[in-house]
Amino acid sequence: MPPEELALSPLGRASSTGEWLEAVFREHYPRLVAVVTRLTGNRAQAEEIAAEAFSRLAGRSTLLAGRTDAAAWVYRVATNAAVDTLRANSRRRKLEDQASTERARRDSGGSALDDLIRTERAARVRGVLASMKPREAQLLLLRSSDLAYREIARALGVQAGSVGTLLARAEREFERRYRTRYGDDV
Amino acid sequence: MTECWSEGELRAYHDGELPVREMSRVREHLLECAPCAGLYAELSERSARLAVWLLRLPEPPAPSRLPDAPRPSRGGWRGAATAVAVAASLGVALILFPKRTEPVWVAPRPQTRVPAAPKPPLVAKPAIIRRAPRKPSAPVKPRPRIDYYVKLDDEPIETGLVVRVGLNGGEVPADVIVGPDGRARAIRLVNDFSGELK
Repeated sequence: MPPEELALSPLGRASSTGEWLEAVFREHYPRLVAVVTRLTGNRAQAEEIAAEAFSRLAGRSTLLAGRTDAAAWVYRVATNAAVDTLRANSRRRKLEDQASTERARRDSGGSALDDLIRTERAARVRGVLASMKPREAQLLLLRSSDLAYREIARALGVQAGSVGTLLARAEREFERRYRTRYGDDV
Repeated sequence: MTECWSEGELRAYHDGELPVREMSRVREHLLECAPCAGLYAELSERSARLAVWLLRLPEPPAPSRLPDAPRPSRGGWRGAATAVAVAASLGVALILFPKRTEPVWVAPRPQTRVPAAPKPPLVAKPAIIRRAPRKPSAPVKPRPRIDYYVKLDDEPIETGLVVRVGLNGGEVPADVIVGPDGRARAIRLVNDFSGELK
């Protein structure tokens, strides 16, 4: 989906608040689950986080009445929760990653080493993101998920003109932390 | 020479996120300003490396069906109106049916003064406090280190030898459990290795 389409395209046609909320949900829920899954590595947990974010939106009468920035708000809430989860469950996630590697090895009937290396590399990236400031981790994740600067700015509550600066800073910080932990393994 | 651009603007230029007019101005400036061209090259290369790293977080396939969308809560104007109605009816009920109060009988105070009870002398027997003998503290047991391995076959591992190897051309250190028959039985990647592989 092109980033511009995050601008709540079908919502002008929705008449009641319920229809409008459902339109937002149908448009953004799958993508939000995908974004959060990339960060947490756990699809079921990502679905819970996304559903919780939409449930909270349903209780926000101000956002529902204004019908603006709802998608950005949901992205902010969900990625915040995802970063919190990532930071809190780093050890449990490592064990789960190892278990999923074992499952993948059994299912594929081979290429265990490839799966192991792939899982380990994903865990390294998640570990570095978990060690960063939450907003920097959110920024890198949202940009990596092809959101436009305008959408990132709305999701994080910053000026669109400052996204480039924040992004350059976050990328430099990620690289510094990654190289400190793992050397020159790019 | 045209004006220099900030790091954030150059980063936005790299993503094509500047307005069209500014995009062409930055493009012209980079042709004539070596420091800005150098900074832009650095930002572009780092961005490419970040893309490679972050692509290691796989995106799952789209869900086959969506769960039900949440319904807007009814706690807005309707909830407030309900609360006001309940409060108003309670107020009317209190006005129409006020709480009945019975007269309370209060006992008269005695006229005669009662002498105060004599106080006991302030001489107390000193208490003897004996300290319990201190128990010797138990020695701290060292916690065993647990390493998790991925099995390479389904047979149980009874004995084996851990051998450290370098995978991927020696770049990725790993521990391999080798069985008595010489076959590799399990493997794990080593994260905290800082030595040199031979």
